[in-house]
Amino acid sequence: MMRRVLIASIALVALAAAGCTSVNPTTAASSNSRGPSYVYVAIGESGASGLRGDPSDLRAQWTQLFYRSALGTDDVLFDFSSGGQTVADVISSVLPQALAVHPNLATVWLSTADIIAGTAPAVFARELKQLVVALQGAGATVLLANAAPPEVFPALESCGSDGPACDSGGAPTLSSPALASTISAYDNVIASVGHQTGADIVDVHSVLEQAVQGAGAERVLSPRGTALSEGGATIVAHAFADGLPRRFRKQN
Amino acid sequence: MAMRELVRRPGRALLTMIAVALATAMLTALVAIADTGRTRVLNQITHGGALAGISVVAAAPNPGQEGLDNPTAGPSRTLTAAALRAMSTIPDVTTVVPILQAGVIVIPPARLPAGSSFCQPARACTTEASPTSPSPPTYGTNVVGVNLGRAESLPITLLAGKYPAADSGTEVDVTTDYLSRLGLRQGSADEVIGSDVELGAFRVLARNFRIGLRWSTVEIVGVVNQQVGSGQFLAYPGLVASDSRWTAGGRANGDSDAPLSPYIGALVEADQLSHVGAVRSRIAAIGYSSSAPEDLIVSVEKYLHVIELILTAIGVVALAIAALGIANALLAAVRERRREIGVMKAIGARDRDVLRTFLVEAGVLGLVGGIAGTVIGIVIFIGIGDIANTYLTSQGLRGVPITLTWNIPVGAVVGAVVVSVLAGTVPARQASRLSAREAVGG
Repeated sequence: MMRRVLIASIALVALAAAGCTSVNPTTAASSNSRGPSYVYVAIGESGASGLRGDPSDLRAQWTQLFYRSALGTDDVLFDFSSGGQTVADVISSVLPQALAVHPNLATVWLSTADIIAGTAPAVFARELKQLVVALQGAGATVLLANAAPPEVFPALESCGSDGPACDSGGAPTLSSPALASTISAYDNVIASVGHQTGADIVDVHSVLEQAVQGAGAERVLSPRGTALSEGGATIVAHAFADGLPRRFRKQN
Repeated sequence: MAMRELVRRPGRALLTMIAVALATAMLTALVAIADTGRTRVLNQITHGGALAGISVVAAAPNPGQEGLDNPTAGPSRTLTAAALRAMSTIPDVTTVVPILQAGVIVIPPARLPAGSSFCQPARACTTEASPTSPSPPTYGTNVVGVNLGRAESLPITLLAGKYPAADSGTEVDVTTDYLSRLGLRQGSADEVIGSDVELGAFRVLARNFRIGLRWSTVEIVGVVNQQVGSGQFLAYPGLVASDSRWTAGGRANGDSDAPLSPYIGALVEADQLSHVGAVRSRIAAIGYSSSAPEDLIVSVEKYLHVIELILTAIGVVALAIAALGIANALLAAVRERRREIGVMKAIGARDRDVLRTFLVEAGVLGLVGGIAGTVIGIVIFIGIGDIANTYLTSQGLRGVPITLTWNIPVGAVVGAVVVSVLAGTVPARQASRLSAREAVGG
């Protein structure tokens, strides 16, 4: 009887030990470290990136703030942000190079240049979907931001009449109500593309709108009103970080 | 009997030993200092690299300047992997270490270390960033890539911290220029070790010069002086190759300045100094310009050899004076012990027994004095080395390696014994030739 009890005890202890030491690769990866390094691709405009032409401001780009705060030190950021580029520009000149680096995380914040250029929402939707699908096809998780609220880019309202940020190439002037309705249409289109492709939508529109209402546009915008200030960039970086799937977040 | 005699007259024995010890100490210290000085001077010429090291640049050779230590290179020429392979097959070449370089934009840490001259008031920078805290601006430099596993034969001097881990893609060393950039003194290396820096390599994305940046975060693990390439960051080649490949991709987008090859040069090591000239000729035949301080090293080695001879001679003169002291002490002992020697002879001691007694006495004096002198000499050498290193490090220079080759202390002790025995030979022979009657009667 005693021998049986002893054998049963040993078997129980052995089973328990096996249960403790057996390694589930997924569990081990998520508990010990975040897993492999990530290749993060940022696609956007100069306004979206916070780049203001001054090299000393590189540190304050929202992409930099997002990269530093949310991702790990062994991750790499490919920043393809460039002023005034439409989705069509990105598809023709940036997308092949972005796909070549084999990204597994991409942020896309495009709309301002298309609004200025007068791209029809339907065309914008088709091109944006093409872009997102291509990035997803390369294995990237895509975070897709909607359009900034009109208050954040006051210069847009004077586009076509010598506005400082305007490079519309003769696009029609947008009055305040027209700009608001255009942005709303773009937001709907972006939400729709997110729904169709499974891309995560980052509601930049709401967070910036709340920031402007709470603290004033000067906290969010650069002095010229043509790009994000460091405060605005921080708000946007936080919005993207909140939308980041857990597996990408760095372990502190 | 010899030992008994030493103990019987401790004052004389002690003074003789001190003379030997001081002479040996002087000889040991001078030879060790000369040897270390030689290493330091040659290190300065080669910047810490190998004596038979050759620096190859990505440029064609200049026909009019072949054979010069530092020729003016000809027109730029892409240094390819195939050319590097060809260099490694040259006879008498032991190693070819490629050097990579990539241009990067640097984002230093937002918060400066407390020692930075940008921080006013002092230590304001270590607290949370505030609107008044300065952030060092971004700037451009190069990151240099080389196999740091061979750092001991490269012109690289580790001033603080360590070299990056083998093939690390995230660890870098920085030069003292980086410290200056952050407003830090050269001795403030510890302030930056462990901090993260972002490096951005750029690529022209389209013909309208849109730029794409490849950002990576690196950790500073050490501070170096390096003459390998031109840049404030030093890393393993893999890290640099990624940045270089990214920038090179801009060539397809119309950037004619984008590099065709990541290699900016190579360090080729010949098996000995006398083969450097032949190896350089073969490198020129492959199509690349090279430089090596071979003529300078040969000239300097001649001068250093003269200095070594002078310092050694000073030590030897001191030892000779000590030898005269030993001879004098033993002669006095022979005179004092004539009766004793006579008794020894009368009871049957042979000449060689008396000779051996005095030679052993001289040998013991030399051995004890030599060991004590060598220890004193090593202490003096280490002390001088420490003082020199404190000064050099405070100037941001590499310290002198305080190492002693085994042959110096061993040679000093053996030399002291041999000189002492030789000095004791004359008195010992004199004592051994005394007849019993002569000795007792005298």
